[in-house]
Amino acid sequence: MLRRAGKYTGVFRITLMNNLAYIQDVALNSIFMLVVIFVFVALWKTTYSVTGEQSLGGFTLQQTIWYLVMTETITMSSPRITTRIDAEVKGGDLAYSLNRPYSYVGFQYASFMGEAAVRFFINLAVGGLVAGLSVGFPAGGALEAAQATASRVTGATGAVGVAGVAGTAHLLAVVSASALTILMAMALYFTSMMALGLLAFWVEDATALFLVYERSMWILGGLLLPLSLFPAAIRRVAEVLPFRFIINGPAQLAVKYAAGDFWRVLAGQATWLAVTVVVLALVYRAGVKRVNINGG
Amino acid sequence: MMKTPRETGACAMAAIILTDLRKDFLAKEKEPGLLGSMKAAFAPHYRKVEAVRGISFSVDQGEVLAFIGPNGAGKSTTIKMLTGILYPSGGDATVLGLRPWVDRQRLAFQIGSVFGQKSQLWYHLPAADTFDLLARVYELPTAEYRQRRDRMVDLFDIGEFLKTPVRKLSLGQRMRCEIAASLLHRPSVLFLDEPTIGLDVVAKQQIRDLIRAMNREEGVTVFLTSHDAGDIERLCKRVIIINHGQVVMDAGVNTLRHNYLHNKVIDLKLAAPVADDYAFPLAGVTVVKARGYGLKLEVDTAVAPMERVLGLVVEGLRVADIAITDPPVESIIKTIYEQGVPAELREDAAPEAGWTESATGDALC
Repeated sequence: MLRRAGKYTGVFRITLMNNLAYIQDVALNSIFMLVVIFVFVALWKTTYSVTGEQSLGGFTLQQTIWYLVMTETITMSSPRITTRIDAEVKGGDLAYSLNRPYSYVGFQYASFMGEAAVRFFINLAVGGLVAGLSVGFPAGGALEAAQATASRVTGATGAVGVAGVAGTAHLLAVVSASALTILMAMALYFTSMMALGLLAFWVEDATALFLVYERSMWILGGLLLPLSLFPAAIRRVAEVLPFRFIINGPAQLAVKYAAGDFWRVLAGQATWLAVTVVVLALVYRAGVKRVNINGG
Repeated sequence: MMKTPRETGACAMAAIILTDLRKDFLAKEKEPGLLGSMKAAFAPHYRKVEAVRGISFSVDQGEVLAFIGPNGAGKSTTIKMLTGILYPSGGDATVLGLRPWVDRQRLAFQIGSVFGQKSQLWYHLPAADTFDLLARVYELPTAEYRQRRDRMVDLFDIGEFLKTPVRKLSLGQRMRCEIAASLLHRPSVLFLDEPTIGLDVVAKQQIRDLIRAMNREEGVTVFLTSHDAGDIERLCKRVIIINHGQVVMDAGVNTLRHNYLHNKVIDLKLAAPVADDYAFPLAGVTVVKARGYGLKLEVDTAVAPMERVLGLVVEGLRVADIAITDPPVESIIKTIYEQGVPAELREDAAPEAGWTESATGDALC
C-alpha cells in the first residue's frame, strides 16, 4: 500500500522539481497576476468610492480584493490538463504513460498537483503582495473580528488577551478550511478537465470543449465577482453548478470564514467530486480501448 | 496457409506469441476543397485501415528479433499491442503468458520499452531523478535499486552525465540513459522501437553493444524495430519483415545477409574532381553518382570483396573523406519485392535452422 502511494508521491515530487528547475519562467508568468490585481484594485476602489458603500454584497473593499486574489490564484495555478491530455492522445506520448505499473489517471493527478503547488505559492505571493500593499493584509482583519467577538463576551477588560487566543484559533480555522477546500477544488478541477481531455479519444480536438467549460467556470464560478453580487436568477443557477465549488467557495472562505459555509462548501465539493470521478472513470475505461496512437 | 504458433508447436519457451493478430483503424476521409470540408463536417466518411492483418509468430525467451518494415507497415502498431497500449481488433497475443491489453499493469513489471522518438526522461531534470522515480514506480526496494542503478551506470557508462539535465545531453547520451532506464526493473522482454534513430555511427555502435550485452548477460528477450539494416545485421539472429500489415518474410539474419544484405554504399569526398563518366575498374561496383568532388559507389560484396574495393579506391583516387553504409531497410524490401521471396524464406515455409527450432520444434519444448 505504502509502495503504491510512493509511486504517486514520487510523481508529485519530480513534477515539483521539474517546475522548480525553471522557476524563473513560472515567476515571469506571474507578472500577469500582478497586472490583474493592480487593475482590480483600481477598479474596485473607484466602485466603492462612487457608491459610497462600506460593503457591497457583504464584502468590504479589502475582502473583495483578497477574494479576487484567491480566485485568480486558484484558476491561474491550475495546469491546463485538458490541453496536455489532448496533446498526449494525439502525439502518442501516451505510449510511455500507459504501459507503466500505475494508474494513468493517478499519474496525471500527481503530476497536476506538483505543477499546481509551485504555481499556487508564486501566484499567491505576487497577488497577495499587490493586494496587501494596496488595501492591507487580511490577517489584521481576522484579528480585529476576533477581538470584537471577545470584547462582547468578556467586556473591555482582558479582551486583548482573549482576542489574541481567539484570533489565532480563527486564523488557524481559516487557513485549514481554505487549504482543505482549495485541495478539493483542485481535485474537482482536475477530474472534470481530465474527463474533457480524454474526449480526445472520440473528437479530433477537445480544446473547444475545454474552452467552453473553462469560460463557464470563470463566469459562473465567481472568478471576477463574488456570487453575492450576481443577479438573483443567475446566482441561483450558479449555486448548484460545480464551478462555484472550484472558485467561489474556497476563495470566499479564505476572506470571510464561517463554519457553516465551510461545511456547505465541503459537502458540495464532495458531491460534485463523486460525480466527476465516476464520469472520469467511465470516460477513461471506454476511451482507453479506443487509443489510436499516431505513428502506430 | 498461415500457420499459428500453436499449429507450429510454439512451446513454453516462447516469450511472445501472436496468433492471427489484427488491428483496424477508422481513418476520416475528406474530399479536397471547401465543399469537401462542408460535406465532411455534416456527413463524415470513414475508411477502414487494416494496420495489422492477422500476423502469427512466436519469439523465444532470450531471442533478439528484428521486426522490420517500411513506414506504415504496422510495426509500431504491433509493438503497441504487445505492450498493452492498443487493443487489437482480432486475434490474440501473449507476452510472458499474459494478454497485454488485459493484464497491462502486471505485464508492465516484466517488460521494458524504448520508443526512439519519444522520451521517458524528464527533460529539465537529470536522468538520475527519472531513475529514482522509476524505482518507485516499479516498487524496487531501495538497496536493490541502488545496486541495479550502479550496475546500469557502469555498463552504460553514463556516470559522467547522470546529474546533467536531460535537455543538455547529446542524443547518443540520452539514448543510453533511456535504455538504462528501461532496464532498471530487470525486464524479461525489451521492446525497442527505432532505438538508434538519428544517432551517429559511434553512438549507434555503442547502443548495439549495450543491447547485445544485456541480452547475453541477463537473457533479455529483445524485440527490435529499426530502419537501420546495421542494427539488424549486428544485433539479431532472426528477422521478420512486415509490409502492409502482413508478415512477408521470417528468416535468419544469415540468410537475409546472404540473399539481400550483401550490398554496401561507399560515399566518397575527393580532394580532386572526378569525371562525370567515371567507371570503377572492378566488376560488382556500380557508380551511383559521380559529380565534382563527390562519388557514390554501390558494392555487391558477394562479387567484389570490400577489401579489394577499398584498395582500388585508395590507389586510384585522392580521398578526403569516406563513409561506408548499409542500404536502408526500404531498399532491401524493394529488392525482396523485385526478386521475390525464395520459397524457403517465405513466412509460411519451414523455418531456418537455428533460431526457429526452439520456437517450432517439439524437441526443444
